[in-house]
Amino acid sequence: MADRSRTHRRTAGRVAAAVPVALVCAFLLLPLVVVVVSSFAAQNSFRFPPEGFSLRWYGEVLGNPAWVSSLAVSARLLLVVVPVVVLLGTLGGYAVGAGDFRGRRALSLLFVSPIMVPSVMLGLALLHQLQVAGLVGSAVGLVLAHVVVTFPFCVRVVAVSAAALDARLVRAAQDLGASPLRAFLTVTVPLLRPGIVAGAFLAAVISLGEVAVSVFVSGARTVTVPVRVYSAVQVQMEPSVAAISTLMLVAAVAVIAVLDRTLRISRFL
Amino acid sequence: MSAVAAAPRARRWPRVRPGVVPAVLPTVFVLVAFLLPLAGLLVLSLRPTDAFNFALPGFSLRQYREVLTTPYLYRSLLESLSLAVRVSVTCLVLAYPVAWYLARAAHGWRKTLVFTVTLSPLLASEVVRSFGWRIVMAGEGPVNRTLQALGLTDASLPLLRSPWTVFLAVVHVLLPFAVIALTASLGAIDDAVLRASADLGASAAQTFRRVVLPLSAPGLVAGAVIVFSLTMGIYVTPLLVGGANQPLAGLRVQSEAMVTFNQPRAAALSFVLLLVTLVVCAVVTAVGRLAERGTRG
Amino acid sequence: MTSGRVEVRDLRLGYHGELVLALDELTVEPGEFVSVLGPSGCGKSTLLSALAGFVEPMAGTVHIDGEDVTHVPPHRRETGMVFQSYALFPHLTVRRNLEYGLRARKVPRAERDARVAEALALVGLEDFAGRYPRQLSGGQQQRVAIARSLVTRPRVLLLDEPLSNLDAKLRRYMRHELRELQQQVGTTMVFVTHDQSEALATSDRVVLLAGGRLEQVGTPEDLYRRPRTAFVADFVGAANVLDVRTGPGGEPRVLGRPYDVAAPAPARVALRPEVLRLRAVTGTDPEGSVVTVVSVGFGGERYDYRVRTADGRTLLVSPPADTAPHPVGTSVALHWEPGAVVPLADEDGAA
Repeated sequence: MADRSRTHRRTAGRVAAAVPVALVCAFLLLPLVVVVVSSFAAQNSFRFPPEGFSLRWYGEVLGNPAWVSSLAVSARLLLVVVPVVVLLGTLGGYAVGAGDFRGRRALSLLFVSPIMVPSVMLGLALLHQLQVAGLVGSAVGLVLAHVVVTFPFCVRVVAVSAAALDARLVRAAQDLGASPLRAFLTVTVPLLRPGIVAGAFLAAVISLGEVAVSVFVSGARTVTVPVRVYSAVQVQMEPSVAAISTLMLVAAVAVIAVLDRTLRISRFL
Repeated sequence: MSAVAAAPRARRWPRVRPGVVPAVLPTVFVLVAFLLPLAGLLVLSLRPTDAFNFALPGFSLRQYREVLTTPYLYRSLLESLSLAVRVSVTCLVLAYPVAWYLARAAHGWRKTLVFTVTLSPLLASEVVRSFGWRIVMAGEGPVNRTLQALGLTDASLPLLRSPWTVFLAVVHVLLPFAVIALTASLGAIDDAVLRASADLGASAAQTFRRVVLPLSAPGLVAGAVIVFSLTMGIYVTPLLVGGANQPLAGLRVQSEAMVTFNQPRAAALSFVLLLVTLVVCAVVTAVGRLAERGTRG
Repeated sequence: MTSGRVEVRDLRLGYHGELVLALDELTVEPGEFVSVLGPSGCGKSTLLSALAGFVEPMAGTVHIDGEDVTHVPPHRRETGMVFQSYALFPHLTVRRNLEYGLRARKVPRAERDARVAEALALVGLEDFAGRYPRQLSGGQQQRVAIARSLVTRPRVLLLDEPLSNLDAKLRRYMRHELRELQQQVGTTMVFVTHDQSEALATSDRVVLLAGGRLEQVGTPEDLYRRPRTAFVADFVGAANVLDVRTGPGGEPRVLGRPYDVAAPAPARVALRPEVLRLRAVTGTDPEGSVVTVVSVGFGGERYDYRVRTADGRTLLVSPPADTAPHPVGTSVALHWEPGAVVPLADEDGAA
């Protein structure tokens, strides 16, 4: 009897604990679900529930040269930003995560400091610097902006991996005849790989969605998808914006879900 | 190392750890792409300007004087401060149960689901999230339609103009950061400590108040700091959800820079904003440390 | 086999200018199994690090087979190290772990395969080549670690407390296996441990370190039977360390009985618990040899007594358990065979 009431109470407790989690999840999902749902609307309004189902807004997006060019800009940007930030983030994360030198803590603070500065300020600072250098509207500014924004995240993720490195493995490698460089490439890098891969995906997802800094530095020919959404939402609300948003959303969610199953990136939190 | 292994002993080897060499390239990058532009912005904020708000050579504190005396500007700082405090508290309260779940639950599809849902707003662009709130709160959007269906209101409410809508949208944008910070510190609490507390006769509520809450103080501080500082400078979400007329510092910086093209003033306002943010964050961190020491001492 | 001679001269080791170990002379002969024994903090692991090349000496030299390797980095030393935690590469299979050193040396593939197969057979892990370290038990990981070092044919195999992560039973088993393996391959081995029974059971010679200094070098029997200092006597098996007193006629006495070993008598001697016997007190027993039983435990072959002397010292006595034990509180007399007393050098190690 006592046993049953105890299991009963435990089940009740578990349900009571699950309710707030479920509510918060619902709150987090609500606006995203609404965007996805309205992208399939048949009418040109945001009336809920939408009447009818159609893919016309997706067709409209893919038939619109402006959206297509923005998709291309975002994709090309990604191909430049991710390798650069992975290189910088791996070096930086390895140094501050596993390093043994004076000023390591200060350096690690410096590396994450771009997060602490408001993006509006970062955007303005970069814009001003580009004006000084005569590079306004060029791709350089956009690349710089995206690398600065994603770099702290990449550093942190790699640093977590690097801090967990067992230095004795490097010793073992050297003892077995591997030169320091060989030991780094055959032992250290493979052990850091989960962090590097997670950092790369994180950087990719953040770069894909970045808008607050990009707005300042993007020129007429370098409008990324989020920047175009930013302008579109201010001018007119159209379900085609919902369609492009859904496309971005699906990509991001797929990346993070696959990543957590394969690399358990939740442990980097 | 293995099932047979005894408890790990203290590491006796001097570690084979990297020196400063790998840090050189990233450090140069941060200096050039981050600190140099910030320094340039600081210089800009200290320049006198001509009638068209272009910077002239020389030194002037005029921009800072105006930031601190013009109600249009300094009220935006106060308003941002108020919003940031409310958003931080709300985010921590909402994040706590989720973080507890993520830190304690066994790895499985349910945890992956909660994890994905929690981070999806962070990984979906800020514009997408803001756009979503526009639809949610629109005249014929889900909230108004639900209220009407329930007979609570006849006409559709102008929800988009309510400051609460912006508040909700900002909470939505920043909640994942609070969850991340809290999950880390809740995950670090040893299960044995909780069992010990229960074993000593503490109720679940007592265990929470006396053990879990103090031990999660670092996570609460970290979460508060990150959410607070991000709210202080936020502008995309308020702009897209509530429009350009709200008295928020981030919005003012953006409009000074991009609408009225007064870059020196935008620069000065942003530095005051940064200073206020850093001071508050330092105070929160210090208070957190004191509280932590208090519970341990 | 002539390779694998290690010579250490005037070695001074330390970190950040702080001296950890001073070792004037130590030679390990080819094919020898030498244990380096000592309490934690005695500098034994630092010595091993210096032999492997992980720690550069503050002064002194290390020669291997006549070559001065004092400043040769670890990857060019041709020594093999078995780590306490095994340090197996978690991202590589057993086979790839074993191949690691051979690939670093650019050994051709055919020879590599042959040598890996040979090493796997040596430690009996042929069926585990495709597994990852985490899929192995502690004892198996241990063997992989040894095989991984041996496959490179090191001049010396260095083992840093390799058995300490195993449970007690497996540890005793692996001890023998290690000894047999060494006799089979004939590689010089330097084995660091804090466990005296492990050192005694495995080695040709034992190097006992304490407080950063060499206490004694010798065969296990030497250290057990002829400890030079009270520290050695007590660390290698338990010992009762006793002052030598002067009797009424000026002759040296131990616990009231005449000191009967070589003259001149030292200041202190050791008496092992196993050589002591307890008998009922008779009139001929000198006052100093009469003790009171404080506690007694049954240890299988022997009883383990704690007894107290008249002047309040506590001694350990472990006589064979062939009669009923003396009850706690009774007075008994201590006896020992002639020649059982071990003379000790003066404590500063001058002898």
